[in-house]
Amino acid sequence: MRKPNSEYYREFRILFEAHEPTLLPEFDEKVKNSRPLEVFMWLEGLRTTSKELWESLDPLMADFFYFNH
Amino acid sequence: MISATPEQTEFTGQIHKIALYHVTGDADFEPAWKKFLVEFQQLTTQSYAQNTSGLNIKLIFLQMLLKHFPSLSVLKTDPRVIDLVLAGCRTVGDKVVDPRFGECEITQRSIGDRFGVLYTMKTPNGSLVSFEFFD
Repeated sequence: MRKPNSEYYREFRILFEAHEPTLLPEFDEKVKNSRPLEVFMWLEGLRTTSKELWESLDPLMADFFYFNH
Repeated sequence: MISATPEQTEFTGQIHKIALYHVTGDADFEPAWKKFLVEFQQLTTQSYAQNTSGLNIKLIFLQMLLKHFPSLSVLKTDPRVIDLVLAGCRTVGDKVVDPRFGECEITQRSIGDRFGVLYTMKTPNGSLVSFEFFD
């Protein structure tokens, strides 16, 4: 996902544009400059702060995390 | 002719050195390794590989390597290999703020069954949370 040409990056961006366009610059910055895990910690934070956006991202997030317990 | 990037050459060279410890006396290994490297380099020119992160490329390399050389399965848990593959990722002892739990400390880092990054973190209340993460 941390690659601007990746399919996932494009899909996430479309959802940000649709639900929370003001967060797009921050999303782009995170993808460009953050370590792998931190992008997703930031996305997890949207669960409470941007509920509508989070609900749209949630199905994609499942491709990135498997919780063991 | 497909040429690897200097970073890829450095990475595969380091893995090769570690692999050699585990294949002593196997005369067929070197030609098989060279053939494997060509196959991997061909893969890196494909669209998916061009559009994914360096971390994913290294994880794919390791997955392909262990498929080609099942006798090297020990590499998946070799700390030197883990450090090479997961270079740049958060490591044991690092603190990470997880929005669900607060500030957590990474207590274990390895390569998971699905070839993701497997983290175990200690949450502020002392419980352990484990998850496999994909870049």
